[in-house]
Amino acid sequence: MKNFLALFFILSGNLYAKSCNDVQVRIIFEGKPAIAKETLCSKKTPDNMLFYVSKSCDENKCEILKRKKSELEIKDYYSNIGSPGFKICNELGGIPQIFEFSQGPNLWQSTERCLFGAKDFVEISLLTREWINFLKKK
Amino acid sequence: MSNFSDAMKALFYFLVFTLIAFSQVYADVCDDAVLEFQSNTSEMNNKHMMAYDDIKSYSQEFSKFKSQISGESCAKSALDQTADDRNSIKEKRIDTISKYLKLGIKEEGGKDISLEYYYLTGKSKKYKYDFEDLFNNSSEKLPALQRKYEDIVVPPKKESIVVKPAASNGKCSNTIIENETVNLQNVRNQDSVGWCYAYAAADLLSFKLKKKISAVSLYNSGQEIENDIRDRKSSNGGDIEDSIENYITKKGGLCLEEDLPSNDFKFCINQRYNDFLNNFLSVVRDRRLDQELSANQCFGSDLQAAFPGINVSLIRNHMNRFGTKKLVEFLYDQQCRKLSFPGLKLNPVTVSSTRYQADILMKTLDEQISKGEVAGIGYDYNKLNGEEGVGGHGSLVVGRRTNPESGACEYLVRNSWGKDCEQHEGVGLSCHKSCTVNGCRYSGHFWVSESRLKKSILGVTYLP
Repeated sequence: MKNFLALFFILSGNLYAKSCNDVQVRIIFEGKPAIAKETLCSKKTPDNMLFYVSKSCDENKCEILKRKKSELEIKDYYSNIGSPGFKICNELGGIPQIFEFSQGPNLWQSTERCLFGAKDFVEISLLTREWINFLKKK
Repeated sequence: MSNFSDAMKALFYFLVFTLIAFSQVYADVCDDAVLEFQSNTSEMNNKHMMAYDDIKSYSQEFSKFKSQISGESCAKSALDQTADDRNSIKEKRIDTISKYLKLGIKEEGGKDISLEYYYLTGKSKKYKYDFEDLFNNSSEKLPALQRKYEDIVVPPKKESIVVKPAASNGKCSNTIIENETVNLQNVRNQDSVGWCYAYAAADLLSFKLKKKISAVSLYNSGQEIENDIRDRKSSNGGDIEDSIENYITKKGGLCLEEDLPSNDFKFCINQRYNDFLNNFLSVVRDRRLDQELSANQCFGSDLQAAFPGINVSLIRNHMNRFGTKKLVEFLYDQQCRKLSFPGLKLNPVTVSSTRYQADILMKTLDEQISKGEVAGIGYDYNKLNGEEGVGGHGSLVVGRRTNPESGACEYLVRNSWGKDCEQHEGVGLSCHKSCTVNGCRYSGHFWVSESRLKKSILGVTYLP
């Protein structure tokens, strides 16, 4: 029985791990483009939309994904200056960043993420989707 | 006596074996017929939609099947084996007719499809159905079909004229326009600056010239960049046509994105473009340039990211002579000294709501799309989204389709807010998604209905 449980937990761990992959990330270091490694985890919604989050946010473990939704006031939302998703990210206390990553040779993708602290990040499109109905736009 | 009983036993066994063999032959006839029927109709079973001609072909196969099992004792069993498949075809036919009726298509193969619909759904028994026996013994409750979105195959009329959906009056042909420089995968992100017009202008030029043009180089808000980026309220906005004409007239060429990056750079510290420029100007104003460069590695890195290969002495010289006055424009010029397309002559055309009705603007847009060209649009984003307040914005239209559900004409708008989707999806408004086996991702484009766009459009700009 013990062996069965151990096998079960090992297999479960492996199943969860499949939603996270190491990817290459393009950064600028000392003025030159450099490649770094990061772990990117997939978050899939019931309507088959796919978003990427940090490993610390996998399975909604991080604070921003656990945060209870309430009205979010966005000043100057209607001014249409800049991406509204960036404004939502700022208002939630995050820092928006354009982000380039690759999951295979020559398969670079660009997206936008919202960083919370040193480890947590979620794609801005996921944040927008989750918070858009709570926005109080001024 | 024993010989007689042995003979009787032998006869008995012979009769039993003969009966078994005989029944096996009959069973093989029915099994073979079923297999042949299923094999001949497998292609139709895989389709999602059933046109009249599909049903006709299916019925012909069914007639052939029936003639093969006619008179056989296994015929009923063979018919039962095909019942599920036939029920499935019937369900698909009902689904197809339902979609046709929603699009205003009333007949097919010279027959009134609404009568067929009532017959197949059991609402009318008086209709003389051409394929009456095809769906017999399908009285069991049908399993729910997995309905998938699929483009409608519009059936031709007898005269082979293609029937267009009534809602769009037949003028809304499906197309998505893209090339190596402007496509569904590489939407831009204007980040935190109010230069949507410049990003739309850059995409318009990039598509035409097949080279990625620097968006920020086309800044043309009528004031110094330093004043424009101070805060959100200080941003002036601009015009797509003016930004192109101004630049080409003044410079005699264009600047590439690789020489002056707009959103392809990655900051070392997590700043937005707006914040980076403000911070940079503040450092220069306070005469802390050298101090920051030596103490803050990220500052130097970000400077190189925004102005690749910049010589810092140029910044010092400008600072000494002019302070921060027009410093960013100066650096933009330095980055763009190696102009591309020298001597370029382009005459962008704008049709504006200040002079023309919305119908003319939409007609202009349609003409460009029909020619396989993209067009820039100025529009009230808030009005388009059904929200309060005025929100002037500029984007590119890169496609058009007839919505298969509503029959309405829709336009594909390429935004400049990254891969995000801000739309409240609903009637006439939906996010464009790119889907693979792993899932779907927003592409930063959205579909908007003709009626919504017409209410909010302010101008159309194109490059003849």
